[in-house]
Amino acid sequence: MSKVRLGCSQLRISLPVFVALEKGLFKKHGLSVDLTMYETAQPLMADLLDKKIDIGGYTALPITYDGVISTRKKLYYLTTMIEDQDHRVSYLLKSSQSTLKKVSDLKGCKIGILPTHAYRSWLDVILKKNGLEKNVVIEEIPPHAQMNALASGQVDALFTNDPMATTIVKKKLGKLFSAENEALDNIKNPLPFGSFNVSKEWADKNPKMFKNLALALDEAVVFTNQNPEEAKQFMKNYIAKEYQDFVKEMPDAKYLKTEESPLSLFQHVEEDYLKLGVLEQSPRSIWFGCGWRFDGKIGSKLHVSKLTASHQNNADEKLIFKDLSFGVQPGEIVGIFGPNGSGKSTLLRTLAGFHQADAGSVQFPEVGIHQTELSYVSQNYRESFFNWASLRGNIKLVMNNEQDADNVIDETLKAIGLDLDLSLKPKQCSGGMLQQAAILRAFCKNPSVFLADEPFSALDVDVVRKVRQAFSNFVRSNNIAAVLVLHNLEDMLEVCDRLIVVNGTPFSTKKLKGFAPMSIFENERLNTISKKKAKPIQFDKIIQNMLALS
Amino acid sequence: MMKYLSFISVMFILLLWGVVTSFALIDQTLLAGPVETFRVIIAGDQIFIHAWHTIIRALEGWSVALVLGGFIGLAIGMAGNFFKAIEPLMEFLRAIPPVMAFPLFLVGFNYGEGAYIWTVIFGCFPIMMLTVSRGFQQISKDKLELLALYHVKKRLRLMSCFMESLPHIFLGGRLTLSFALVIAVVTEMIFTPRSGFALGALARDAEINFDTPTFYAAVLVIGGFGYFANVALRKIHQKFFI
Repeated sequence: MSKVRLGCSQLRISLPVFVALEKGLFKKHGLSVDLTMYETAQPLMADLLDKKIDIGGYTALPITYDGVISTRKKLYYLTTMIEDQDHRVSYLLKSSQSTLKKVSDLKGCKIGILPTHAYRSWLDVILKKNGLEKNVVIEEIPPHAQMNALASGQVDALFTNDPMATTIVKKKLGKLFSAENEALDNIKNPLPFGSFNVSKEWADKNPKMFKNLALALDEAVVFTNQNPEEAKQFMKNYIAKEYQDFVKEMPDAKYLKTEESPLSLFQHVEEDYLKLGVLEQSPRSIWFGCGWRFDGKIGSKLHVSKLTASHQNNADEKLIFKDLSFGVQPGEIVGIFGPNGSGKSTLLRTLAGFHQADAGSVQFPEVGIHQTELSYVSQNYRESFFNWASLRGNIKLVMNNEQDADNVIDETLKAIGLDLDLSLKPKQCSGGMLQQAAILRAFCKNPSVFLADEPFSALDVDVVRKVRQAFSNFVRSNNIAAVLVLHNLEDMLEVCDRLIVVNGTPFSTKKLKGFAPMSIFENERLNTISKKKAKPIQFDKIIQNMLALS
Repeated sequence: MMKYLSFISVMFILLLWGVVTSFALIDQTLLAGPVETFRVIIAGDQIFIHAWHTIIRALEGWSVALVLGGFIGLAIGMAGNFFKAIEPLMEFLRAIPPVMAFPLFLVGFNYGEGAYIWTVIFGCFPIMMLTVSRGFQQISKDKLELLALYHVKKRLRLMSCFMESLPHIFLGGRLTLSFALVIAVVTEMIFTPRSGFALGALARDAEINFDTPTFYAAVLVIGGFGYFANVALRKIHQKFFI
């Protein structure tokens, strides 16, 4: 059983955590939880970023973003809590006797808020939209003091969440400010409220635990969505006594599983928050840096969505591709085929994260995927070898000199069937040998996704057939999703299942009409064209043929 | 034939030297004969004591410059933009003849040994640092991307980049070693060290006293050391880095 320090707030937003604890889901997935409870998510986030806990949630996204921006520490996000009309989370309350009707009536009043960055910034937005920026007094009131504060008239209104809000309403100490949901009306509807967070450091050190945590949380989320009443009962053991009698009355909760929480969802919230002034700067550079492990569609190992990228040449910006979307299944080899300068390598480098995309996302949806499970063979494979080490030393280096590195290398070499002397130094090797070594090195990392730029270009004619066959077998038997940039039609026909035909820049999904199963192509016809070695390859003609056939 | 060419050329120069001095084509006060010169080298143990002190001064300064310049060069090379920021300053320092700084070091170190050693350091450090930092900057983007993609541990990343820069460190070492000897000799010629043992001072005194055999013996000893040290370093360089 692996120990993990978990933090959660004593609020309803932590429901999946309570469910996972009560139903033993963490234990089921091999996690021994050392639980720390917090009154709100604000100190929880501070402790998470301060490494006092390893994982924690749920936290409202403004708290998360604010913490990430101010500390520049990286987090991974699992699952999402959604607030919509049927799944209320935030409440603007007034005292039972209050005659206030509209938000604009709050002019000159005192409003109590849950002491978090999220509630403060959301209230600021609501007030600003109602022209009350400077005409109200805002007071932070901790959860345990909120009932009294509203009942005693210490504040005229209270902006908070459950279990306090429902308890106040049911005890008739206060009532909803209006029939509207002020947060949804003024901020976003539906509102991705918050996420469960994991410190990147912990996740990177404990990839298996990370995966198990995601599985446990996903199970808890499914249970919470499907059995809302039962889930709410689990809250009783974790919230203060005065709220326990009202758990049944609280609204049902809605959570999205990890795989249903795409990067785009968080990006849209971020964009809205930037517009609304909830955020002053984007945390995107930070989260892009850490990789979005659990994003994307179920099924594919690599999912590219509306990807756009360009090249900056001095003052000119050249659009290379726009709104490119495709997915690659496990064990599938997709080829990118097109003339020189069409942006094939840029696309591959963007997928690998070496070229910054202008928009869109590259997602690795498989649960547990770690960035190290992405392997890449560069077009400049010669330059990627360190001259001071042997080929074996170079491969061991990227394996962090793991204890069983030698065994893995030997087994992979045997599995691929390459004939390589790994004791040679790079300078003693031919281009073909280095290219084979680069492929071997990429496979030794046990990748889920394999990207390669012209991986067979330097191989001799008699070697290339053997390597292509071995490569193809290895990818399929190990369920690797592979994307290859290819220039040679024979390579393409031999190894690829599908093809992205690129014809000029900028290319986009609309132009990728040749993206179809290879089986529909007339292989013989393409072979015929490839055999005309005296003539340059006529891409336009080939593409036209492909389009006609598809 | 090529193998013996350098030996033949040395023999030819010695012969030419002998002929020129034997027939007094050049005045003996300007050029001593090879026999007299080698007699001083063979018979005189004093010259080697002087040479030993000079070489030690040069090597001490050179070693400090090697270590300091190597490490700082690596750090600056890694910093990227910082390198660009301080490169003009380093180029400026490199352009200053170290001998110009020698009087300052003499005063600073109270005319002690430190003045000679720190002049060598002052001369060798910028060359070393610039060579190493440029070498580090030349590590291909593909290698750095590879290390980042595969999440290679920081310790291993640093070690890999250091090893990749080692040929540049070695090249910097080779370039600066002969320079260190030059600086040591020149500074000794300007001001005799307190110990009195200094090849530069010996050569200067011999020159003043028209003791040309001793002067040329000093030149041959220091030149010989520089030559053999360079050959040794080149051999190591070729064996391990090429």
